[in-house]
Amino acid sequence: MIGKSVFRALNGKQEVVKRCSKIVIRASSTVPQMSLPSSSENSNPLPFFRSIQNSPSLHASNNSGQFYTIDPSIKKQLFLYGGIPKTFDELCNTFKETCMMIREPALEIMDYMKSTNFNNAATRYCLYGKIGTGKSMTMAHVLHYGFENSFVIVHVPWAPYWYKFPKEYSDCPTKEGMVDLPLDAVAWLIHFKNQNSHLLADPNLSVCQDWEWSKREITKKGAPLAEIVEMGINRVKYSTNCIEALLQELKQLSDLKRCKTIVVIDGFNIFFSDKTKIKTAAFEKIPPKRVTITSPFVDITKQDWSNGAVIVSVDDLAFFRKDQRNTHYPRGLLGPEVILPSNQFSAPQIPI
Amino acid sequence: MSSLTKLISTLARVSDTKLALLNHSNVQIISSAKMSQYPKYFIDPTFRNDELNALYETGEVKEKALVPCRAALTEHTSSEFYSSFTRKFINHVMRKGNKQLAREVVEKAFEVIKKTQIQKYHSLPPEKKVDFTIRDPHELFHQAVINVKPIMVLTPIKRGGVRYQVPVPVDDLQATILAYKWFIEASKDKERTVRFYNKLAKEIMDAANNTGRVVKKKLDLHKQCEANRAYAHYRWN
Repeated sequence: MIGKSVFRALNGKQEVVKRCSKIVIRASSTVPQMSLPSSSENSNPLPFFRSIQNSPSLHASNNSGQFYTIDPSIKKQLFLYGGIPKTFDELCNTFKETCMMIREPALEIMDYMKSTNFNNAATRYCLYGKIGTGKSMTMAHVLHYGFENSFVIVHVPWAPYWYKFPKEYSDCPTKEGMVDLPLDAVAWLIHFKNQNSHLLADPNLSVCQDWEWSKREITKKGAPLAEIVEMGINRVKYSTNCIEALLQELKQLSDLKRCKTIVVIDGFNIFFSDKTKIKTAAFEKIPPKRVTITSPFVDITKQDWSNGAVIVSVDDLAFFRKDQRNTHYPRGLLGPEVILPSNQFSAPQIPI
Repeated sequence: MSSLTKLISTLARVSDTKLALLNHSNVQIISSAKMSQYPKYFIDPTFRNDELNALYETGEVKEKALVPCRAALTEHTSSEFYSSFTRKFINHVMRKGNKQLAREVVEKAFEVIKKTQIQKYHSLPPEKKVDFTIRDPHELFHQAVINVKPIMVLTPIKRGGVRYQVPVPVDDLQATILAYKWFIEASKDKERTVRFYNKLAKEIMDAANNTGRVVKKKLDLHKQCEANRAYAHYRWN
């Protein structure tokens, strides 16, 4: 991945934190000592490192290296349940603004997305790079772009949380040998609802087929998509089934051109690993493929639907410490079985 | 507080000059550690750039160069971030010789203090921002310790088979050590999920404002000393 400019910028801010004595040294138009005289207050230009454009759709290569500010209301809607790295978020709270740097990888993805033919299968972008090079930040930037362009957002802020710190796990009643993560599924549905609240009211997003949860509870064809989401949140027992239904519906709806979907998953390689901390009722440790929540998200990254984009990141930190492979390349982290053309999951992916 | 000061004046039998010396925190008192590996005539090393330059200017270097000198410790740096006051505190925070952890923890606490101040600054409306100063956490910590240092302590003295808690003046060094101990105790008394450095940062900021539980502890101790003033003469039988 290109340079550590994000890191450098963060270090710069940390330097301000450490070396300040009595006088506050901060190059910004808010500091009174540094502002221009009051007569020209209205035409106070932004410092060169800040971008005038705060909208990702308008970001271009001439903005590369500049910082843009995310509105607090947008940050709350998109990133309330995750998406912005924690240490960076702390600094954002300290300085009371969420300022991200516009960098080449994000610009590259947005450029591709602007020029793709959405009639073709959903393109997959795989972000890879060493630890600390800005994969999560790029995903946050692209997520903001997707939000602005009315994509339905399917966002998993950090997939390994489900497997390393599951809130609660129980044997799946319907599928043999599989384990459910009911509370995590509900949490994800709440996250989905929060991010897409403005789109779920759209009448175009109606269910394409009947979904039967139990003998008495059915979501009929033509019902709004929001009903499946509500069902999953209210009925914890069926939350994973609701996720499966929801993601399948989104694939179908995107195919029918009733909506466009952007799938953003951080730490995607955990889905293909061998270990989790999740156990069956018989105390047997299971791999992610035996967890019910895995399959809908792996399914949506397949190439059997159109009118969407899939952005996935692979990170060595996604694995458990002992299993870490000391490589940052997608082939090493996803494993050759995944990359081989014979596997339905695999390439073509655009590596970034 | 006037009754307290009267108590102190009757108790204090320390000479003025020694008091002045002890209170002057910049003076590098020649270590009179009883179990030091060095003989008493060994001098402490000069490792700060400004002190060294002063020695060169006055010409004292030539005399000092001839006197045997103790080795500089790893914590004696000429770095910009060095604080002689804080390094003593770090030593008290250290457990089982894990200096790295102690230093990390204290530095993180200072970082939290700095961040909190910056956050406060940015929440202010523009008119009030001019008046607000963001203070160096080392300075704040120094102020906090000054606010927390007790002037008197209770010591158990046995008279006629009974142990009385007698108020006794405490010298500056002992008072500082007590202050350090109280800070560490207060920061450890927390829930499992709260981090030590977060709690320490809060305690330091409260104490610098003369509020919070550590200052309360000092005031309670002073109150008890006041209450036990009747036993003060037991100190001299």
